Amino acid sequence: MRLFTFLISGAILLLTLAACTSVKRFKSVDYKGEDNSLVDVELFNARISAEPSEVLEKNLWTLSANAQSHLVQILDKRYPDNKEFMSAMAGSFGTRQSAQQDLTRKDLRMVFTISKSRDYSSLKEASGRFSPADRIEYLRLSLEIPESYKLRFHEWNRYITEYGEIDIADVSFSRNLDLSVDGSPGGADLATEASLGRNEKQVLSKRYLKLNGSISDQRVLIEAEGTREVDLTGNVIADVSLLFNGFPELVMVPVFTGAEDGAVELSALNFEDILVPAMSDAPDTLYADLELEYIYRHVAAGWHTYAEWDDRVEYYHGSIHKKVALFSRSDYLPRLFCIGTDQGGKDVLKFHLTPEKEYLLQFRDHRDAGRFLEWLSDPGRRQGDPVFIGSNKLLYKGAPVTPAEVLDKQLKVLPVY
Amino acid sequence: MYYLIVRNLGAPRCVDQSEDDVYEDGMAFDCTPHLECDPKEFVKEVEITCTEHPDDMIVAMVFRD
Repeated sequence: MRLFTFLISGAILLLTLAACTSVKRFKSVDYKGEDNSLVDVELFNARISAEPSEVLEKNLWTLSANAQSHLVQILDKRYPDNKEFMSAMAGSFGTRQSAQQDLTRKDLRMVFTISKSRDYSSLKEASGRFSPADRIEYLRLSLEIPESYKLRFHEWNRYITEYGEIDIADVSFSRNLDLSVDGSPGGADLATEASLGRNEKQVLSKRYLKLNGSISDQRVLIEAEGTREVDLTGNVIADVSLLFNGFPELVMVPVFTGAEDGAVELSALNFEDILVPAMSDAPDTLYADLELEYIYRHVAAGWHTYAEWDDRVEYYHGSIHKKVALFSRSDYLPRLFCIGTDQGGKDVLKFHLTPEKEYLLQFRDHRDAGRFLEWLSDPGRRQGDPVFIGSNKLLYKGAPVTPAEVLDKQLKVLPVY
Repeated sequence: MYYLIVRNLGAPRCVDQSEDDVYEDGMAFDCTPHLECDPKEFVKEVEITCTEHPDDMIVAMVFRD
């Protein structure tokens, strides 16, 4: 009888210790259904890279040291007068073509902020769905661009998921069980004491994270899966490139040279084909559809310990759909400039490249347009003569334009779009 | 006179003109000119391509004066 009692006690003890091991995911688990109010997502800080529009100018300082020395010697011989020499030194020798502009490509940094609802007032409520131990265990983000924009995801540069670093290090759990059996069943003295100790060592915050992403023409998909002690609340950053369909434009690249008298002369007008975004209209904002699906791990009981083995876990599934702003009008409109007036309707300078066809005189940056206008309205020019660039006649309202008209009409640099 | 007008980024431009209505779907045009046109009456819509960028079809409008 005594042996039987000891065997039973031993078996219960072993079962208890085995059942209470701390290397468990939870004590119990249940799927509770859908709740879309537990998590929220925002898209912010969409950054677009600057458009490359620099036109590199050739001048004394862009030459090599050897060439600089030679040029200074030549200019010294040619311009004995100090003022003329200094003016010649400050001149430019034309422009070097910059890399062709791609105005249809936009680099975008998307920062998704995922936040958890933190309803501390419901902590003690049995029906409450918040505890300090809750976490977002899984999330899937999707950003979709409507096809009507003729805009597509082109390249996935990189993505980073940022979370706070948690370093709890190794934790030892020590459990001692003292068992006292005291009784006299059947008159036999069974009083005895047993002691059993158990130590466990585990890494509580070993960071484990999965992050997947995919990209297609219309959609970016990001998927993340957390593990114990890792909550997916935080920022997810995705750097992507987007491409608009292209629409052709012809832009002018003026090349200036310094004349002997120090004046700036237009030596050439180069034509460059570029592409701008192809879109019939130019809406104020381009929107995308943002969708977040998540699995929320709510700890209904056992959240007072950091360990998860004693948690009574309830899982909720939720989803959020939002329309988010992707680009504002100023973000995607190409920065091209023309010369004209916007008083009483927009009238701008054009030119004939062939007898049948007129083209808009447009420049790829404000500086080029400004210098061209300065050259055009130079008071030293013959004010009544039509302006030619090579064999191309400059037109204003369909008729050849003169420097006097440029001054008289107060033409200025205007944005094309 | 018939005019072929394309619209991009909210700005219309006249890219071609013809005494007859020769414009049909699938034709290709130089889309860079800005011709002086006097469009008064809408005639039809046609799907064209730009010779500088033939990959994408765009919708153009035919007008006459």
